[in-house]
Amino acid sequence: MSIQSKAASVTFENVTKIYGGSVVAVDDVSFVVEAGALVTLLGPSGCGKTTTLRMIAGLEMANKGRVLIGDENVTTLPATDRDVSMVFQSYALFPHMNVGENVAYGLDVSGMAKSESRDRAIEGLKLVGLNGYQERLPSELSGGQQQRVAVARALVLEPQVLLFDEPLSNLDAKLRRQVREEIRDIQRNLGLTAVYVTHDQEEALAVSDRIIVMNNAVIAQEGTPRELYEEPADIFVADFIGDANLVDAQLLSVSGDRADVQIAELSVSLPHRNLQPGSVNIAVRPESFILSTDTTTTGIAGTVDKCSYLGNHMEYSVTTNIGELFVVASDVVTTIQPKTGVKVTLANHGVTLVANT
Amino acid sequence: MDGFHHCGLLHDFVNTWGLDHTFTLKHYITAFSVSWGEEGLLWTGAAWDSFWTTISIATVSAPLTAAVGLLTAYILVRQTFAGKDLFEFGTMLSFAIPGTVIGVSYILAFNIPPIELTGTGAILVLCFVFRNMPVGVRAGVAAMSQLDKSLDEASLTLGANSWYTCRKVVLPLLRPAIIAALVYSFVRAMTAISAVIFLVSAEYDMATSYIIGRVENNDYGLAIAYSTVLIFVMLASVLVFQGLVGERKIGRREPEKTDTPAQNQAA
Repeated sequence: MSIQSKAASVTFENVTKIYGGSVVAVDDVSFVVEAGALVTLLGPSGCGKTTTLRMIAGLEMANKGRVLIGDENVTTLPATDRDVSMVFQSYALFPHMNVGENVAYGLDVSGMAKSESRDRAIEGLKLVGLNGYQERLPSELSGGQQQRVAVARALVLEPQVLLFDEPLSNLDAKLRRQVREEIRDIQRNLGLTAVYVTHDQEEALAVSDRIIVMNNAVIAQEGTPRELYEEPADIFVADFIGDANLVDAQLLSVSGDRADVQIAELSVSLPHRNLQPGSVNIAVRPESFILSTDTTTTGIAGTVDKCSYLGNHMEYSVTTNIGELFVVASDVVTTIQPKTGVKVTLANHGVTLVANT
Repeated sequence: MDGFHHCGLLHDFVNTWGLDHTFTLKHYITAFSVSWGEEGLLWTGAAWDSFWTTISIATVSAPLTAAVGLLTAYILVRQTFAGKDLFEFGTMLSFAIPGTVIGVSYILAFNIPPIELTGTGAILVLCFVFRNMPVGVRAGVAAMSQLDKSLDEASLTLGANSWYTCRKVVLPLLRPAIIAALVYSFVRAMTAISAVIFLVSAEYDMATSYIIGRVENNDYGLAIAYSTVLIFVMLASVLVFQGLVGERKIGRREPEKTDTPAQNQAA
C-alpha cells in the first residue's frame, strides 16, 4: 500500500476576516489554487497570509465570503471535519508520544485498526526518510527530523489539501534548502495540492508553481515566480521579491509594445506595460547594473561607497545623481575599491517599468 | 520545628505526659484496635468510625476537586469570553474566605428546602470541592499555559474533536498538575477543621473534629496517636496518587550517543 493523492482545488471568493470588530486581517480576497499545484502565500509580517492559511484549515472562520475545497463549500466547516492537514512552524509534535504514535495519530483518530495504522505510519516515515525512528521521542530528534515527522504525520492522512505554515523558519540555512527540496519532491511525486506560507522570498521562488504576494490584507500580485520577479505589478512587489533599485525616469514615447525611456544619461527600450509618456518609476535588479571603471564610456556617473565580498558575488553601494544604488557583481576577481569613480550602465534584462501606486 | 514534632510523637508512646512517662502503646490500641468477630474483621478502636468517614469523604472530593479545578483552568486558558477576568478572580475568592465563614454560610444556605444538605456527607464534599478548587485552577493554568496552542490545533486538523484532544494530548501532558491538585485536595480534606467543625454530624464525623473532641476531654494520648496515623496515611496517599496518575514522559535530549550505522544513514 502506498500514499495516494486525493488532491482538490482551493477557492476563496471575496473572503474577509475581521478580528475584534475592527482589525481587518484579510480584506475581500479571492484566488484559486489548482489541484496538484503548490502555491505560496508570500508577504511581510502582518499581511494576512497566515490568517488566510488558517481559514483554509478551518482554524479561523471567515466573516464574509466563501471558502471552497474542491467543489464543496467548507466556509462554516470546523477544522476537525475538513480533509486538510497542516504542518506547523513549531512542528507541533506531541511530546509524550513517540514518532510512530505521532505519525499514526490522525489514523488512530479515524478509528483505523492499530496494525493498519502502524503500517501506514511506516509508509509515511519511509517517504520522508525516517524509517526506523518509530520508537524515538520528538525530544530525541533534531529540528530537521522533527519537521519531517510533522510532514509524514500530515501526509499519511492523504489530505485533499496540504498546508505549510512557515515550516522552515526554525531550521538553519543549510537545512532549509534541503528540506524545502524534499517537500517539493514529495508534493510533485504525489501530485498533492499544497498551500505554503513564508516570508522568505527566495524559498517562495524556489518551490512554488505560483506565488500570491499579500500586503496589508490584500493581494498585491499573483503569478509564476518569473512573472513576479521580472514583471512586478507595483513598487511594493518589486522591492519585496528580490531587491530592487527604484529610480525615476522619463517615458519619452511608446511604439508597439515598447517604450523609449530616459534614465539620466541612459536611454533604454523597455516593454511599456501600459504606461503613458511622462514621469515613471523603473525597478532595476542589483545584478542588472553594470559598473565600469572606464569613466570615458557613456553611463551614469557614480562613486563606489562600500564594497563587500560575499564569496560568490560582490556587493557594491554606489552614489549617483539618481540616488544610492545597490549593485551586485559576479566578478569577484577584479573588484572595485571604495572611492573609485565608475560609470553605471544597464544590462538587457532585469530592468522594468513599474506602475506608480 | 523538628524538636516540636519529636515531642509530639513521643507523647503517644508514654502513658500520661507530664505524669507517668512509662513507655506504652495503649493509646494506639485504644484508637485503632482490631479484632475478629462472627462476620469477620471488627473495627473495635474508637477512632475507626471517623477515620473511614474522613478517608471516604477525602477520596470522593479529591478527584472532584481536581476535575473542577482543571476544567476551569481549561476554560480560562483556551477560551475567551466576556467577564473572564472577573470569573478568574471569583475562582480565587473561595481561597480567601475563612473556613469558619464558609462553614456557617453552608449551614445557612443548605439547611432548608429546596436543597437540604446539612448533616449529610454531600455538604462536606461540596465544601471541600469549592474550598480547594483554586489550587487545581492555578496548577492547571500554569501547566496549560506552557502547552503550545499549536498542539491543540494540530490535533484538530488531524481530525480529532475537542474531547479526544483533551483526553489524548492535553491531559497526559498535565499529569504533574493533576497530581498536585489531587494530593493537595486530599490532604486538605483530611486536615481541614475550620469549615468542617460546623458541618460534621453524628453520622459524618471527621477525624479532625474527633481529635479536637478528644483533646477537650484531656485524652491527649489518643489525639496524638490519631494525628500520627493521619500523617502516615497522607504520606502514603501521595505515593498512591503518583502511582495512579503516572509520570509524564516527554524525554530529554541525551548527551552525544555513539553513532550507529542506522543513525548515520538517516541523518
